[in-house]
Amino acid sequence: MSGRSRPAAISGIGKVLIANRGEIAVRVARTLERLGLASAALVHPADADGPAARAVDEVCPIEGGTPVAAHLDAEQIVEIARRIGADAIHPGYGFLAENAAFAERVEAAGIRFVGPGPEVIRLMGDKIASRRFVAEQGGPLTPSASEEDEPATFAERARELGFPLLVKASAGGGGKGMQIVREADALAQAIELARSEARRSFGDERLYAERYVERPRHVEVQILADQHGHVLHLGERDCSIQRRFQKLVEETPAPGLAPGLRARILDQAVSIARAAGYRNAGTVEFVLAPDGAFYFLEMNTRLQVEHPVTELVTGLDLVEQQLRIAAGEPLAFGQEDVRFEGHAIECRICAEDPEAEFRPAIGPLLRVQPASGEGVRNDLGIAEGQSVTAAFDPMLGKVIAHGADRDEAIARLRRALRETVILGCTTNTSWLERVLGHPDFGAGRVQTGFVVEHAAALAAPAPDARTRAVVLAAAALSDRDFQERVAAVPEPFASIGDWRN
Amino acid sequence: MGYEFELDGHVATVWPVHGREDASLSIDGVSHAADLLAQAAGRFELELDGQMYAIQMARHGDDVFVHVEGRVHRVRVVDALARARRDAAPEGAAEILRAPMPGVVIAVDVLAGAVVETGERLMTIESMKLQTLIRAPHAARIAEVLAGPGASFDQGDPLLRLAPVGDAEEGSR
Repeated sequence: MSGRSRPAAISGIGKVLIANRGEIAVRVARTLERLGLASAALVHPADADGPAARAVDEVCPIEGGTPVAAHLDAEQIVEIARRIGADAIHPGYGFLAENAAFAERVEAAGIRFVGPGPEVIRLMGDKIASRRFVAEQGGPLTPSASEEDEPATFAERARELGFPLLVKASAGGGGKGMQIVREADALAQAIELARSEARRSFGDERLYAERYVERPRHVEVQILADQHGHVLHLGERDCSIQRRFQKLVEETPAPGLAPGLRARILDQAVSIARAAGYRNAGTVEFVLAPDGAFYFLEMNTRLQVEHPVTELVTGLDLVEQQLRIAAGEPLAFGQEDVRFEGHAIECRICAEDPEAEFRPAIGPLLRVQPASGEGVRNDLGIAEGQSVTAAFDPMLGKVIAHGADRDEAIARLRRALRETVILGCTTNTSWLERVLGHPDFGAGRVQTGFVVEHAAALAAPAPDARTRAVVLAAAALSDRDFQERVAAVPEPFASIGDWRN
Repeated sequence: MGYEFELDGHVATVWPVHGREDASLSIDGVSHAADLLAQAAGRFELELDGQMYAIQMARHGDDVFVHVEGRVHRVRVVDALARARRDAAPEGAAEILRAPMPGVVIAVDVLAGAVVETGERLMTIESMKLQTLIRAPHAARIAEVLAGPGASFDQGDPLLRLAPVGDAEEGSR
């Protein structure tokens, strides 16, 4: 990141309240410190041992029945910001980061909200309204047909969308009454089946059809936009390695994307952000089909968990840019000034057991040793001595590696994952290392079904005989009872070896 | 009696070996020369049969966490006394209700000493953002509440101890 010379002051912002916790609170605090700004963070008693409390100048205790409820208490948070004289609130991600009413409240209190205007948050936060908006702009949406529009021609319009096709209840949800149709001959029967299921499950037999994207990739574009009408992209990210719709591995650039296709995706994202009058850092997400077709998924109007990969290849500090934009500064560079160097990959470290369907894990953090090494960045929200409880999100932080090319980034990140030591609470670090080591990942053959498709190959191998011996010998020799037994055995018995009581 | 350690679902017996130059312990009957050297806090070097391994290790109760060659292994020290007690527990004695998954206690609906009917609500827990009720599996007396409101627990942790209805230890009223 830039920062060798002293960065220019930001007019109107001297003190920032971080309305978040964990790794992102630490991450935002790091930039505030570099910029010479005063920092404050909300800290619930359950988080008092966490690193965020130590990363800021001022700790602001928050109250609430649960830590999550406290972090969602807009009134309390605005009151704290007012009391401590914060000029701006950085919401991080999650909690109130995409809550338009909160943004309104903050601005009404005369405090800058580090994010876009409330109307844009509201538009992009509404799945249907944002799709309609993108459609009006001529943006790419999954081809779809609704029976409501004209029931008589529904089957014909569905056929014209092309196959495979998903036929589902308009009123539907939860996968009920959903039919995948792979060829025209099967369409009539699928409509009939979907209709009877729709009638039974929802009491509403109207149907909806859309193109079904098989083996899709998740590709998104980092946007940076100021209030003076400048909209830039900072490249794309591939976030296809997911489990249960949550991203686990993210990288930039997206592997194997043809230059022409990449340019079209970046252009679309910039047009959508520009049309929405966007300001702040933001992300436009797309689904990319194997044939190169891509469709708008949603726009996130905040800093993304995976922003560090973009920072590593562009050398920009996105939190600094967010603050400058919030202060009303124009972007200090144009699109052609943005340079992309090398390749960066991020892995999300979660307190969970990949061997037990990724069930969340809890436990005391007896030892936390982040990895070091060239090109490695640790964004961790945990500290030794803390306990991981079920009260918060299982994501403990991220390990990110930058390399001259993808292979180097993979090698550095695998090494960093092996060197990241978290003892006392089960995490997914070695599972992530196996994901990066999988030949399909190495070849850039990623898609959102990767984790399910390769579940068997990614499972932890049972420790071999030598590893068992190493682990058991270490455990035994460090056990006080065992040591005493070793020392206490009288010589005649000791010499026998396998003595018994 | 040897020392029992559980690793990856298998229990191994480890014996100290005395008076031999070439071995210091045996694991499931196989002798090894092993020497553990403490380095900085939490860091060790293990020499096993002439090879060196860099190890990071921490212990919590009966759980030993060993990081070696990029992976963490959890070893459980099997406490011989507890095992004997468990094996000897008679039918119909105290019974422990355990957490079905990790979570937090939201509310406790009974007090120790209370007599409850089958299906009666004992505790509300929250796991993975879902609230679940812990109900009495059968008529019983609550011998002990092992986790209070706000307490977090791991899967399998004890939540409540039940005793037979007629069992009135230390004067339940």
